[in-house]
Amino acid sequence: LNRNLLKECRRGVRSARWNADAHLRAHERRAGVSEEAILRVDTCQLAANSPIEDFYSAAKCLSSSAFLFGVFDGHAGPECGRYVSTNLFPYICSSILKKHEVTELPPNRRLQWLFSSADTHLPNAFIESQDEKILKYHDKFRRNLDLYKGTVREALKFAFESCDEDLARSALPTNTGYIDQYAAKIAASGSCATIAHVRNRHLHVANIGDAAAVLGIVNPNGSVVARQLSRAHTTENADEVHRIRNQHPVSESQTILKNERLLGELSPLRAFGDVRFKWPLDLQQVVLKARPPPNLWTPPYLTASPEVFYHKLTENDRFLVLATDGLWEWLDPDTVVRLVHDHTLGTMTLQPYSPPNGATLHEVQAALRERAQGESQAKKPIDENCATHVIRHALGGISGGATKQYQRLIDILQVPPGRARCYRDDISVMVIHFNDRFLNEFDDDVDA
Amino acid sequence: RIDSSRCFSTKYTSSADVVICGGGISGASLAYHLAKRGKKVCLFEKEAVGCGGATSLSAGLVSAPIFWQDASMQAIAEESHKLYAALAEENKFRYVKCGRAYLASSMSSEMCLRRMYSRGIIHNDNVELIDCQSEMLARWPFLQTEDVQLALLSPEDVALDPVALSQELVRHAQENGAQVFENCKVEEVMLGDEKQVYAVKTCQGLVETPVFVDAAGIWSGTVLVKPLLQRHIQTATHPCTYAYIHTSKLPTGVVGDFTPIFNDLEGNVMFRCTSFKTLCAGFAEEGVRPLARHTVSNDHWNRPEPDWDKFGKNLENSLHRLPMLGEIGHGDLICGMESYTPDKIPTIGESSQGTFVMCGMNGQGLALAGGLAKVLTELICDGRAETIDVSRVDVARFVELHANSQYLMERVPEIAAATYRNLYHSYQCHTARNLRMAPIYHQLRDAGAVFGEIMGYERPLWFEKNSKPERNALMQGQDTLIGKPIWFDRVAAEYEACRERVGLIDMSSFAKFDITGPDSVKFLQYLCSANVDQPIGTTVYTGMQHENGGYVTDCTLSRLSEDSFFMVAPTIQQERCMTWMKKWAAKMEVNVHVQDVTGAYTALDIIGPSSRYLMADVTGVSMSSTEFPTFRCQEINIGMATGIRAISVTHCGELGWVIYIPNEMAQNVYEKVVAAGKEYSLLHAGYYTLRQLRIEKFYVYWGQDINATVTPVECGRAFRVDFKKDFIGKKALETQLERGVSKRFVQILIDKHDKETDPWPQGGETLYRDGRAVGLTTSAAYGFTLGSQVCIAYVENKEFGVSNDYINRGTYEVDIAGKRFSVRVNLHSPSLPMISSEHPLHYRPTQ
Repeated sequence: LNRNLLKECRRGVRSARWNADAHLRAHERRAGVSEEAILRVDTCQLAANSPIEDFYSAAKCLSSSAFLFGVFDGHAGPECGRYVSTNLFPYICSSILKKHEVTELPPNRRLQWLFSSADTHLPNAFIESQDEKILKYHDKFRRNLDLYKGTVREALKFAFESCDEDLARSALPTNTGYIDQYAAKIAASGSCATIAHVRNRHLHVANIGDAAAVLGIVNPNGSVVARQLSRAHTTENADEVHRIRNQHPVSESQTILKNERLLGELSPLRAFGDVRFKWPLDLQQVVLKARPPPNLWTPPYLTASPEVFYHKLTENDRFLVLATDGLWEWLDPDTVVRLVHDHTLGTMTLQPYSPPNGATLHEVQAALRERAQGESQAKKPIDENCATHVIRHALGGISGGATKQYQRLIDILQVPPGRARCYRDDISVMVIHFNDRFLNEFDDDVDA
Repeated sequence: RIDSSRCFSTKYTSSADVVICGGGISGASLAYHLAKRGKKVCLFEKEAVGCGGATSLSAGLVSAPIFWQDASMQAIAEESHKLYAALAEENKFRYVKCGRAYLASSMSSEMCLRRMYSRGIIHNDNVELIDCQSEMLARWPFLQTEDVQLALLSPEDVALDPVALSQELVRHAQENGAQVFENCKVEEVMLGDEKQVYAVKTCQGLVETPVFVDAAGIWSGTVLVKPLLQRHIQTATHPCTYAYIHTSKLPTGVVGDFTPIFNDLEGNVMFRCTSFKTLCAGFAEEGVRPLARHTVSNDHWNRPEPDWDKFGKNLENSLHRLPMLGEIGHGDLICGMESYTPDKIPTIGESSQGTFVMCGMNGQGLALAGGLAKVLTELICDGRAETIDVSRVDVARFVELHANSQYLMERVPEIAAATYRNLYHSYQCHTARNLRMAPIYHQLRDAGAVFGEIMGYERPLWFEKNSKPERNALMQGQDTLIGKPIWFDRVAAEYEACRERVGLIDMSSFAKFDITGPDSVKFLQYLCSANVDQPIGTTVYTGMQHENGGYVTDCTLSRLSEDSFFMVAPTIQQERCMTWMKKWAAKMEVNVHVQDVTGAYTALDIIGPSSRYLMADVTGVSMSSTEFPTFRCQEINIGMATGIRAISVTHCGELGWVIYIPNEMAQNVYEKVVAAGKEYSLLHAGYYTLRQLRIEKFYVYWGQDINATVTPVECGRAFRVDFKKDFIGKKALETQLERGVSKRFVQILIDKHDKETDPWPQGGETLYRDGRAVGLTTSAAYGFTLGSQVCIAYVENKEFGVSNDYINRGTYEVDIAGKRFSVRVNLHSPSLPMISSEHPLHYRPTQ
């Protein structure tokens, strides 16, 4: 009987571990690209809200052969995040600069999706209605010669802003007074976005809100460095606070940022949607059901204009991590970069070994040998997907050995989505691996 | 760990003679010695005495003096041992003289042990060498001795309780009036208007004091000093981890408290096995982690997490030597921290900012702290240590760039890994290299240079033939201790060029100063023992003596104008010379400005009989012995370059010039000289060639042969001293001339030494006169002209003095790694036959 009980216990432990693994891997995805600078993309997602409010997408723009990657962190409902994750890229594809056009394609055929977490969920009719907007936008972009012959930075900014404008406009009542309820929902909810635009070796990161992009650099001397390519737009960012305060009358200085939130309500200081912070009061009362935020004196308080960083990829740049703030609450950029780097090497150096109770030094030696060779199963990362690996370590911790890590993981994953929001946020991680052979060999000196 | 009777905190005080920060073994021994000298001492410890930092985590093993090859380090370690043994007589703490066995399983470690043995027997230590494996096994049946070639048993090593020892030291200090404050952190050192310490702020209040000593171990350099630009006084020490396993007793009845400590030199592991526990420490370099300074500067010291993976190699090596270890439980892996210096020697003394330090014990804190504290006490009370050469441990041997965190973080793991290794003079680190380089570094590298580092400066040691461009040009490790070193044939060729044709040596690393100001003649006349008030353009070789006549430094002084001089001193003197001159300039209240121009000039030493023609070719003016005799300095032009200072002193007794080229023109001039030199078959030579040249001619060098404990009379340079004027140390030198000296430098020539198979002298070998140990060698070289090994050594006879007669009457032997060689002794420079050359004027450096 005793033995059976023991067996039962072990099975319980194992099944709990399987359960945790399955839970973590449920939404992982991988796309091998092997084109130009991009080698492959790993993503993974873990919900805390029900339904999840995080989205991600990856696509290629055929007319400039640029790659686009984005993570989108929605709030106040999933609608805006879902909309932006599928509709922002067409805008960007329609704002290809003249000098970057490789093949002439109509705007609606320019985009080749690698994957997106949201594409299957969108109503078909809705997708069709977008084409029209895109065509209009494309025309507008082409006519504006400053933009068309300008820089990627400006084009990205314009695409972000136009996308947000169109999103808000479709929620407005039509001439007949009809209000599209779905569009209104999109406009009322909000979303942060961090997108990476990679053309040849030119990397642009456009960011609004509190997600972040971190570049993993491995120096020739072997040291691994994390370089953040975005800045969070929250009250912790002094420049943002300064920007917002400057845009509004001094009389509002007491009310505009309260409890580290915009008008005491919204945590990110830039976002798509969220028309409650953009529209004047009277318009909100017509279209929206929700109560407007307090102290809404001089809207708009919120912008969707992104901050764009440029980086020219070198052979030392190994990967780019895009992740929503759900991850950065748990891990700092340096640790994430170390985790990803170790994962690509096939090792788990961040998991220190602790000898089992009662082990002799001979046994310890044998275990250490195995770990040193890196061939044993125990030494290899549990997850093949790099993004899953990062999330596992975010929630399970990076110290204390595998058992302890599973313990923590199981504890955290037991809480069902919805209630889990009290303990953690949705987490989305996208790891873009660069092709170092390409970055080694080809160096075009064409400007960005 | 502290019961109430051990609580040291006493009533607060408002002033003290000396304030010590840190109550580890360093601070405790310093408080002990200072209190004994009657100083009013205050010691502040942020936790409890002995319980805070590295002292509390150490295993309590004290290395015997024979471990150190350097005479002054031996003396320091011996002092510590005496102190602890005396304290242990009261039986207040655990103290076991268990001894230590060093095990060697390769030729190079075997030579290390043989050398250790030959210095051990003069200390009368009952040192034993065991070369029979079955005897080793009979003594220590639990060891695997199959591959052990040689074991050395040093019986004087001690295991003790480091915490109780520190507390005992502090208790004695208190009996002598010291005040000790526990749980009291030093927060800030206050500097007065003239940057001198006047008070120390602690968390319990202010203490007025003129002397502050930073003995904070791993936290040293973290005390705030607001008026400084860096806000801290940072010395060249850095914290770094080390690890050991603490586990249960070995499953054998033959281990006990008196089982020796074992040090396996090849595996770089150490065991301490007693009847109730086993310690197993490993020093593999990859297992050592340097720590960022800011992580330890927090109030709380978080012990770094022990990392078994990093201990893996150590465990392998341990189990190889002590297989029985595998049968016992894994115990605890303990990860400690200790503070290390770039050269594995502690730092004590007065920093250039006016506070004192005692830190950087390099894992040998227990063995050294007692003696170092005594030396530092002398430095604080008397301004100088009488008997021991402090230059090796002096904080002034480092310049500011050595205190750079990045430099130290790269360097200290290598040092920590060498905790139980003997590093000889030729040892070159493989980390943190290429810090300072001459502008012609890459040209020299292309010419085949193999570089060695000194004071962070890379200088060519020798030049390889047909070198590959992708090779690693940095010398790493040390010369073999037995047989010819790898550079022998190349140096032979370079030597030949310098003696018979012309050679070119990069001397850029030498410390250089511009001394200007209306009082510079008066100032230098008082500081230097030679007469420097010579016509403009004269170069004088002189010593700077301290009050007791010893060399603070030697240097060449060239008079550039009525009131400006150009001074060239040994490389390692860059900081010390500056401190000494500044101190005296302030004391004498003279109007003198001293500027360190070391980094502004590239120096090329053009040596050899053909140098006169080569110099004439490149300068376009006559360099004949009447136009440009030796010991002259002139400003010359070479090609398009101007402002080059040429000094006709080669530092090795050959004819030639050192040209000091302003850095921006160095590459141009170098190319010009090399191109013109082709006609005379100019050969690049390295520092090793200079060394063979100068030792063969009995040129003593500061820092290698002579130091602050040696006077010009003792090293045969009294003829360079001008007794007609007044200078520092004149009285002491006159007394010595009158009464004779008890120490004398000699040159020894080793007979019957087979350079292929015999152990080579490295410096530090014992010299025997009529069978009695009378001195040590200080530096060694191969005399290519004399055809034998040549060393510089000193002969000492403290009781009856050393006269010429005494020296000439003895028969001498030198002990190199346990092998005795008969030697001939020279009191004067020998005259060396030359085929084709003209002798420079001041040929005999030692008379």
